[in-house]
Amino acid sequence: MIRRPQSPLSRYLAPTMGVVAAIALGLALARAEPIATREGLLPPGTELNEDVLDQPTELFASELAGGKRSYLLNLGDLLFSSPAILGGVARQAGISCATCHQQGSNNAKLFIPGLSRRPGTFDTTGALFNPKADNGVFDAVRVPSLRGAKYLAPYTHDGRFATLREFTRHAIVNEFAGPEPSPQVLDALVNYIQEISFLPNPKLAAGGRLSPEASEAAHRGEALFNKPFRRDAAMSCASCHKPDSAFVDHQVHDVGTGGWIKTPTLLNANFNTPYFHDGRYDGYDQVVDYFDRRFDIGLSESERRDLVAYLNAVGDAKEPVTRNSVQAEFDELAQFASVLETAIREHNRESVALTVDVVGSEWRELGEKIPPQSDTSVRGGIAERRQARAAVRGLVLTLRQVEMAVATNDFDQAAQVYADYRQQVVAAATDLKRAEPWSLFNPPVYEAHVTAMRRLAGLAQ
Amino acid sequence: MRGNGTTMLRAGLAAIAATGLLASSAHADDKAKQPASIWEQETLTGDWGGARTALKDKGIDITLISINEIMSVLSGGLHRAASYEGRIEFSVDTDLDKLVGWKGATTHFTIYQLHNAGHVAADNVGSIGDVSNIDALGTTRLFTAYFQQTLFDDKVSVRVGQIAADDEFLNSPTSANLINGTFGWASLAAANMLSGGPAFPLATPGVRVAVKPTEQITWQTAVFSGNPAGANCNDLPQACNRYGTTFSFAGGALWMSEVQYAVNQDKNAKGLPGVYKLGGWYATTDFADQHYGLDAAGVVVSLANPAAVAPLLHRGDWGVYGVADQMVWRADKTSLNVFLRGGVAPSDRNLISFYADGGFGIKGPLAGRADDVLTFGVSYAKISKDASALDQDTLALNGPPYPIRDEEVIFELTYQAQIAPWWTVQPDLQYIIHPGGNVPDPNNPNMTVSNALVAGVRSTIKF
Repeated sequence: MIRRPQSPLSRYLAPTMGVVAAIALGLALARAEPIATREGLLPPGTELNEDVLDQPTELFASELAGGKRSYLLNLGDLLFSSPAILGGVARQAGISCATCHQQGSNNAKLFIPGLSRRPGTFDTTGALFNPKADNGVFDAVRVPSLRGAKYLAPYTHDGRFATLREFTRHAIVNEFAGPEPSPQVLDALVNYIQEISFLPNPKLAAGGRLSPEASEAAHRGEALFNKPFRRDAAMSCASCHKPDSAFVDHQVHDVGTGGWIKTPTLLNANFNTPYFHDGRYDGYDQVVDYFDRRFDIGLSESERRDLVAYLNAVGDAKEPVTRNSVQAEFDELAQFASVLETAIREHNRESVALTVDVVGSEWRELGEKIPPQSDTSVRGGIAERRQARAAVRGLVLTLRQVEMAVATNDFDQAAQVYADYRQQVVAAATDLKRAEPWSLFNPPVYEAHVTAMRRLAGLAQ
Repeated sequence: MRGNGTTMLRAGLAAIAATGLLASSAHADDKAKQPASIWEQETLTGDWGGARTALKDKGIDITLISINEIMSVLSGGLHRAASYEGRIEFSVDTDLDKLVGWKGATTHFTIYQLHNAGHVAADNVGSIGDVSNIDALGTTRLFTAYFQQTLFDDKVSVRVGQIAADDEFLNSPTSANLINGTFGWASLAAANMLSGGPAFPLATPGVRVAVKPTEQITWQTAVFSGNPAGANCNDLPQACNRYGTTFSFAGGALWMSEVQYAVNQDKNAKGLPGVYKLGGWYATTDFADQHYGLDAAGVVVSLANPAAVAPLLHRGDWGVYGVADQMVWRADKTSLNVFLRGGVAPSDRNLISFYADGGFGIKGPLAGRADDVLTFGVSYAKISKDASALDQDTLALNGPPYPIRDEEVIFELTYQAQIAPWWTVQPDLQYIIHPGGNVPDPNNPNMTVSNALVAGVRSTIKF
């Protein structure tokens, strides 16, 4: 057999085909991104505790002082509700900071199988939200409330982060696989978190001392709280939980629960269950029992009850929950959307896009609280409901127009559309309030709706 | 025009009958000519004992081609299934000069018998670019039927009748060897024009004029009937015009024009041959906006809004494109051609606003296989920003998950093995990224239609 001299073609053909195949394969892999529902992405049995009529109360320091919410605060507040600043599964499943920290507090019912050991806890180094951060240990920690966070440095349960800014970036990038946040995103988020106030507690007076409004038992407990331990006179409960310092000492301590753990605040703690860094305890009685044993304090039964009464008084708050309503949603969305005014003027594309995304989602969710005609668990108000849902759709699409105008650099048009949007909101408010009696903001309607949904879920199973 | 078409059909049938008669009389003649080996002759049925050549000499050329293929979706797409498609082409070309002494006049018609086994490859993949360029609704239909007159030493040619744009426009000879339809009638035209435009399997009444001022330059322009499906079509365009005899004059006019520059076409030319084309089209009728519609009060609203009850119409549509097909290397019995095509269309009224494809073909890629052709192509079809914006609206209104259409990318590698001059067997491999442009999978709304790998084999027999 005669060997044919290799032609230049066949010499180049194999490598060319190889390169082409590699490009093809690379493109194919890069492009294969299936969409999925939240139900498909999160493990079965996940409880995000989202459909609640009563929301944790959220107060901002500036408003408590008689001022107003700043642009940065509003931007931070809406970013806190934005899955778009996160990445991976969180973004796809519509998870945001606010999913775990509802209204800037915690979420005691949150449960994600595989990541939560108990309700209200979450493993921030699990594989689901960022495989790159998976440490192979099931080390769920409780979701802390962010109320008063500016007084509670350092951050995370082991105090790894000196500043909120470092921690916030870490949460976005490492815990939830998000892109590197821009400086303005971090500024806004930190500003928002720093604005979240402790809720006022009439049982506390200046210096973290109990006021006369607290019970006698609580006052007896206060004395015990400050009393030196019998085994170590240099120590008391108050030596770490300093009453005049938001009940923290900004230190980590080994109290036998598994390493050095940051001293948690006791303020508003009645609403921050479960307790301890891993959320192992549900009540103050268990907490007091533990420390009594750990430090051999030698508390009597009645002393324990007094200490629990004291913790209940310190951890209390006036109006810890707020009933949600159409008006409350409107007020919040007006604050969120006000970001657009500044962002459009400053040609700030990122802020416009993020604001439109969040405000649009919030409107959509508000619209979903007005059941469509097809929802047989709700009777009456069909015309009102239809009108309200149409009004919400109109608002969502008008916001999209703002985004599209900005995408083409037409900021004058964007400003014009935003002005139209504000007009539309006024009209929509009337429509929505008319439909409110047949909405999920009305507790009997909400109950009927939830019952019907459960029945449907039961049938599906 | 309907009458005209019927006349043409009758003429065609008469031609078939005449052919039969001539063939049988020729068979009675002596067998003077020794037939070539079956593996060497141009057609499977040979020269019919000399009758075929005799007919051709008299001005009648008969073509019968059967294409059969199996395309199997190995992964992704809508259904992991194999499909069968078949097409029988029957064409008759007459040279009226030879037939009746009418100088420069010819006629042509093509009838297709199209068949498949239910699901076709396109249904299985769900792509914009049709996996097979013979895929069509199962039927027997008239495709093209026209009269052509050349004038001034063939420098001018006029074609009138039921004609197809994909016969003469937007063509690259190299990419034509690929099986996916987009490498022929590109999805820039197929997905944007009314009912897919005047292209396989739907031709329309029209006129084409071609002028060839020099050997290198050809300018051709045509006007087609705007909607090949006919008026008031609420079904698949092919179903509305099931037999190709609708002879539609609906949908205004579609103008196409193309300038071609051909180099080194002469057999003795020293340089390598190539052809370069620039073209465009303009359709006169109304085209629906991809993003907006009208509500009951006539106000412009997003089509994602259930209040949209009517389309927002734009007057006219257009597209421009370019084609380059150049041989870049040639040896004894092997040559390498590369092709590149691309074009744009306005985003507000078209699904595809930008399109490009490119690739190469190697003739005689292996020793002793001088007539085989290996072809590779990749196409990119960008979904217009207005169509994507509609998805963004839908997402904003209904919440996630909802995919935003972005693009469809098709890779194809195919090898045409010539078993005999009348028979080629063509294994084929296609990989389609984002079939449909990144859309929800109707079988599983939680997923987009996933990237599809398709393998198939086609047999083409010239009888």
